[in-house]
Amino acid sequence: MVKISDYWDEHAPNFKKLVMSNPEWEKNLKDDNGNVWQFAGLREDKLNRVFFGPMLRKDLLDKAGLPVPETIDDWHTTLKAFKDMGVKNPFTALNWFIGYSGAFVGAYGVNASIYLDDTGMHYGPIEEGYKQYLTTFHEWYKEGLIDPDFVTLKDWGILTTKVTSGDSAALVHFLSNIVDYTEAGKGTDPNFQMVAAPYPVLNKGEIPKFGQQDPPVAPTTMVSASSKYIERAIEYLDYGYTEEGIILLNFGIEGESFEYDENGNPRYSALITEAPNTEKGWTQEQALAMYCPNSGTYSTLDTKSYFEQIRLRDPLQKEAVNLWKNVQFSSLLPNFSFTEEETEVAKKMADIETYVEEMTAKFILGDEPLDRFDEYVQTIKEWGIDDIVKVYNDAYNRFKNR
Amino acid sequence: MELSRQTNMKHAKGGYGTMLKKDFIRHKYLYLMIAPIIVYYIIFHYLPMVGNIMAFQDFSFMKGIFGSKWIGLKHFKDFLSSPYRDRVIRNTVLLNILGIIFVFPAPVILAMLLNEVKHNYYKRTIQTISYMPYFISTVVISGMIMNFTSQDGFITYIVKFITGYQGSLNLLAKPEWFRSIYVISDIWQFVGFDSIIYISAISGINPELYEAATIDGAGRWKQAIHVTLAGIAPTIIMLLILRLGSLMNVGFEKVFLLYNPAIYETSDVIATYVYRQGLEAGQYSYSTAVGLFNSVINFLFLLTANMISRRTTEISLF
Repeated sequence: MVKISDYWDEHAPNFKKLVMSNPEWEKNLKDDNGNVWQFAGLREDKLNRVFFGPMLRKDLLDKAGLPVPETIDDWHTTLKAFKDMGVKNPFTALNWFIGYSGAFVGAYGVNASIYLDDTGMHYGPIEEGYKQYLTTFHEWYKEGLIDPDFVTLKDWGILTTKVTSGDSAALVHFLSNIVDYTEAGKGTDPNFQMVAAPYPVLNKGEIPKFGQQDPPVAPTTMVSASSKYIERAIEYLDYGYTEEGIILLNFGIEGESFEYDENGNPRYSALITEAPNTEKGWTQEQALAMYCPNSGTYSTLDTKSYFEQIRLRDPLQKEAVNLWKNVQFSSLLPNFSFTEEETEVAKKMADIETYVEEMTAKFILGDEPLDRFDEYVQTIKEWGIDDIVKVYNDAYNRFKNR
Repeated sequence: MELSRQTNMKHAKGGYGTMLKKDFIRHKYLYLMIAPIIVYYIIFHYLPMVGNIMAFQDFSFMKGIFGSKWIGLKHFKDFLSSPYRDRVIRNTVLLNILGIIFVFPAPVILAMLLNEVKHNYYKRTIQTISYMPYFISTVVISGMIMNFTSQDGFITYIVKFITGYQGSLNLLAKPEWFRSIYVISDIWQFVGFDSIIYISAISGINPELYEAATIDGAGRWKQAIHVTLAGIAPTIIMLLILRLGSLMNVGFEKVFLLYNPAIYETSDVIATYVYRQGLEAGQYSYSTAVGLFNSVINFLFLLTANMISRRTTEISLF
C-alpha cells in the first residue's frame, strides 16, 4: 500500500484540500505519524452519521394510551402493555445491535464492549452497570417481554417478518426500517405505524449516554504499491473530491437524475423521487443507483443534501435522527491505530469477546445465575483485560494529540 | 491397451524423460482431458499452500507476505495456550465421531434397504426424495433448521410434546441440543446422495453370488449380510478412511450458520474459531496457524487409518 499523503500534494490536491478543511476528518484519517493511507467517504454533517436506534409500534402505543417511552421504566410499562395486547414477543433485535448502538445498556452508563467517554476507554462488560443491564434484560426475558429467539437471530429478513407480522413490536434497527416496516406492516394491520424512540435513560430528563454515530470518515480505497499506475489511480480517485465529482457521485447527471433549483442547489428529479410509484417499484435509493453510488461510503464527500433528500425524505425519519443524535457519546470508537506491540496485546480481546457474548446470552436466558457475575468478571480480568484497556487508552491518547 | 502401454514403457530406450515424452505423444488426448483438473489442483489447492507461511509470520497487510516479520511457532504456542483450545478441539472431534457413528452408516443402510425393494417405481421415488436436501444450499437448509427449531418450529413442538416442557423454547439456544440437531440434519442432508455410490457398488455384485447363497440356504437377511454387505465392504472402508482423514474438519458453513453465543459451549469448532479470530478480529497469521495445525492433524489421522486398514484388511488408498 502507498501513503496517499506522499502523493497528494501533486496528484490529489482536491482530496487534500477537502480533508484539511475539517479538523475532525483530518484527525480520523491520519495515522499517529501523520500519514494518510486511504481515500475515504467524508461525512459532511452529523446527520450523515446517525442512522440507527430504538423504534416501536406507534399504533399500539396509541391504542394503549401511552407516550413514546423514554426511561427504562417507561419501556417496561410499554412492553408489558404490548404483551397484554397480545403481542407475542414485544421486544426483539439482533443481539449485536445492542452493543453497536449502546441502546438500553447505555442507560446504565456502559456499553457492551470497549467504550469511550470523557474519562477515556473502558471495558463495559465487567462493570457494575453491565450487571444491572443483564439483570433488567433477564427480568424482561422471564416476563416474556423479550423474544426467545433473541440470541439465535441472525437474519434481517426473519427480523422483518417478526415485526411486520405483529409478533414483535419494538426493536433497535436501521433508520430506513421505520418507513419500510410501516409499509410492509400495513398488510397485517392497516394502522401499522413505526416510530422512533430516544435512546433509553434511567431517569427522565437525562441525556442518553450512548448512541450510534459513525466516525466522520469512512475509509474506502487504498492504492497498491505494486501498481504500475499509482499516480493515475490517485488522480482518478481525486476526481471524486472535485466540485464536479462530488455532484456526479452524489446526484448523478444534471437533467436526468437531478436539476438545480432557483438557489443553485441540486434537487433530485422526479425520475428518482417518484421511482416507487412507477412500474418497477424501485425505492429512491435503487433508482439513484443507476446514476451514482449512493451508499455513503464511496470516495467522495457524503453530502448532507443527499441525506436530507433521500434518507430523511419521510418526516418520521427526520424526527428519528433528531432524537437519536441527541446523545453524549458515540457508541463506536474513532479511527485510532495501534502500534505493533499494542496489536499483540489487543489480540487477546478476541477470546474475551467470545466469552462475553456467550455469558451475556446465558445471563439473559437464565442459563447462568447472575450471582456468578463476579466470577465472570474475575475470569475476564485473569485473561488480561486491564492490559488491553490500557493499550486502547494509550492509542486513544495518541489519537487525541494528532 | 493397458498391457501394451506397460511393455512399451519398460522397453523404452533412454531415461524417464524420453519415456514420458513417448507416452505423452501416444496418449495425448488422455493427457489433454486431465489437464484442466491438474491445473485446477495447482491453482486452487497447491499454490494457496504458499500462504501457509503466514502462519510463521506476523503478517501485515502493508508489508505483504514476503515482507512480514518471522516469528516462528509463536502462533501455534498461542493457540495451545488459548482458553478455548480444549473446547474447540473437543467440539470438532465430537461432532465428527458422532458423524462417523450415525451419519456415515446411514447411506449404507439406505442403499441396502433400497436393494431389497423390488418395486422399481417405488425405489426411484424414495431415491429422488432422499437426494433432494443435498441439492438445496446449506444456507437455505440452515434457515429451515433454524425455523423448525425456533419457538414456533414444528420440531420444537414435538420436543415440547414429548418432554412435557411448558413455556417458550428455542432449541438452538440450548447447548445440549446442538449436537443432536447437527447430526440428525446431516443425515437428512446427505443420506440420499451418499447412498448413490453404495447403490452402484451393490449393482456391481455378481448375481450368481446371490443364487449360490440361495442354494446354500441363505435367507434374505443372510444374503444381505454375507453377499451385499461383504460385496460393498471395500467401498465402505475406502470411504471410511477418507472420512477419518477429515476428523478435524467440520462443515464450516453449517456450524457457522446455526451457532450463536448461547451455545458456543457445544458448537464452537476449530473452523468457526479460526473465522472469528481471523476475519472478525483481523488476526490473519494466527488463524492460518490454527488452520495449518488442523490440517496436519487431519493428515496424520488419514495416514494412520490407511495404515491400519492396509495391515488388517489389505484395502488401502495408497
